[in-house]
Amino acid sequence: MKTPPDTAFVKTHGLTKVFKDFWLRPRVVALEGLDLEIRPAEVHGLLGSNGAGKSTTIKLILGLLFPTSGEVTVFGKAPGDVETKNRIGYLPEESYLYGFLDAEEILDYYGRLFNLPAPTRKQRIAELLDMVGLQGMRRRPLAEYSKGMQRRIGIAQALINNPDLLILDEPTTGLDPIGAREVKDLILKLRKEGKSVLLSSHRLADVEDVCDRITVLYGGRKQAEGSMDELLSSPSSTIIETDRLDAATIDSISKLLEKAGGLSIRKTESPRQSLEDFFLGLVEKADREGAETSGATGGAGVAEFLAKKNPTPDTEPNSETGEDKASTAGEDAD
Amino acid sequence: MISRLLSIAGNTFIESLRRPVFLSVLGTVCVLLSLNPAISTLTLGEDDKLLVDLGLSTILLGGLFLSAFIATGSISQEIDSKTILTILSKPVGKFCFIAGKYMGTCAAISLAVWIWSLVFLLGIRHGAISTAWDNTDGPVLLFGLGGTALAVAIASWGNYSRRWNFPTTVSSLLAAFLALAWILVLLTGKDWSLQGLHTEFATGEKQLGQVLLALLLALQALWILAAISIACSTRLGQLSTLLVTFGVFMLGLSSDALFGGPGQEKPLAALAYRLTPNLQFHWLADALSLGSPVSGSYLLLVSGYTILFSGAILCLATALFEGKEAG
Repeated sequence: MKTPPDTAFVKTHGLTKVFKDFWLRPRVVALEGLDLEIRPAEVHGLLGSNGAGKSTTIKLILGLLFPTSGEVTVFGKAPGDVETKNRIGYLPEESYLYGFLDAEEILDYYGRLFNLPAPTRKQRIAELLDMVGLQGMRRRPLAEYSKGMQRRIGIAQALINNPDLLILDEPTTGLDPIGAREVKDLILKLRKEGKSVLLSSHRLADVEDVCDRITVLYGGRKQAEGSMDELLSSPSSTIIETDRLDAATIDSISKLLEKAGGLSIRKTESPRQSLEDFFLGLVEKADREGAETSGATGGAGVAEFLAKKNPTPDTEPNSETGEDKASTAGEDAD
Repeated sequence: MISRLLSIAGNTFIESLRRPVFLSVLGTVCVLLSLNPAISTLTLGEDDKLLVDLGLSTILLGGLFLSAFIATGSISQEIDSKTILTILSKPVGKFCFIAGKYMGTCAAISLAVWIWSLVFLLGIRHGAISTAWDNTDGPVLLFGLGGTALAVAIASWGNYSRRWNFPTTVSSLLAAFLALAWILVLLTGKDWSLQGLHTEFATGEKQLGQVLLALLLALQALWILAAISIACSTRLGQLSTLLVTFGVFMLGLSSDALFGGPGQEKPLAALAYRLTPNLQFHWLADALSLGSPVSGSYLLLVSGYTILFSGAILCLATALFEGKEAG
């Protein structure tokens, strides 16, 4: 199941989904004529308001919904292809988990569905629980977890197979700022390792921080698509950041600009720290001072097995173990 | 495929055991079966026959409730709670999912029937208590009640101090301790004298071997009902699935009377007779009452029927589920 080089991991053409009522009359046009490409080693953002068609797109890509018309291929195959799913990790918009299992049990269950051998499962579960900061709560039933803690387990289950394509539907919903920052760090790390991420989110700042390209949906139709630079750059102005300047220096720069071609300074300001940075600074300080918490802690960084670089993005999964050859090769090399 | 199938079956089994309905039905049927020796005296001279009849009916009905609730919940609840999204986004085919759910459900039902059968068999050994001055069976009371009390005590301690799941622990321990209790009872006479393991089986009056066959066939009837519940729950909600399962159970027990015999000459009746599971094949209480023994070849024949009928229903369930969206 090789993906030829330069081939998109996911391709949709004219993808349309119409939900029908009991009498098979069209009820809602959730998606209309979507053309989309998710390339290797790319973080692709799917932006849109509520009901724009983001989750429907994801479910069509995963074969959970069937298209009314149009085509979708994942790694060159139909989305329902069972073996293709060895290469995909998926976090749904809500953390739909079995409340009667604990964190270790649920990750072990999902690991078994990928046919991962027991030692690999054990190692990955430990690393993932460390990564999402839930090692201390691994034996508590998930029904007792807070929404944010369930979200963290949801992220861990999406990564248990070390996927080539990670599909995250609103991953930072319900997460505290530490968790949200860790998810963004994780996405960037995975891209660096040659994996692709499809990120659907309402939080524009999250998308802006990590995405290479975005697709904007509204009313089920694509409104815009392109790289962040293409869509967001403002070619008519320039920002220069320096150390703090006094009034006299600003005045002399202004005169220089005036002389250079009739230009002027439109705005000068002293930038302030973001609230996120301020909050994370406080948490780090509390952590260093050994403050206790019964909730989730900061994670221990990206799990080691995820940080093993894929030689090429077009990996072939091992049908017996569910592991991709790249990851196995990485382990052997160690 | 096999490993995934077993994982889904294992998860369904654990989920079934941890659901409150499992312990409630398990406990209620155990209590009813314990009262069986006292209740079955409400007849004139047919105490022991009623004891067997009542016990088998209680187990079949208890199993029906359990089968309907567990099988119904196992798929429709996954759809309602959307846990199915995470499962079907993994490399799991729809047949594998359905078959795994079925195997897990059958395992949970079998565990319950195992425990009930042991309580029932202890009751048969005790015999009906016709009068207040009847002698009680000391070994049955000591080993049976002792095993139960020990299982409950260990599960309570484990839940309190080690956070073990109570329903799972108590069911597993009951299955082991009651089996041990029955073996000890078989080895001990009513007057506490030691006897061979085969002694009770050799007593023709109690038809113990035939009772075991009847229990095995009743369990197979429950496996068929579980397959029907699972097929229904791929498309219907929990309440509709429950109603269909109970309906099929009623039809299955009366299909000979409704569609069999001379009525079979009519095409619709013949079709209905073939489509409805004939659960009368699995109901040996009448044969036991009449004292007509059932052969091993009958057991094999009905087992084949169970496998083929359940397999066909599971294929239908997969076909129904294949076209279902999971969004």
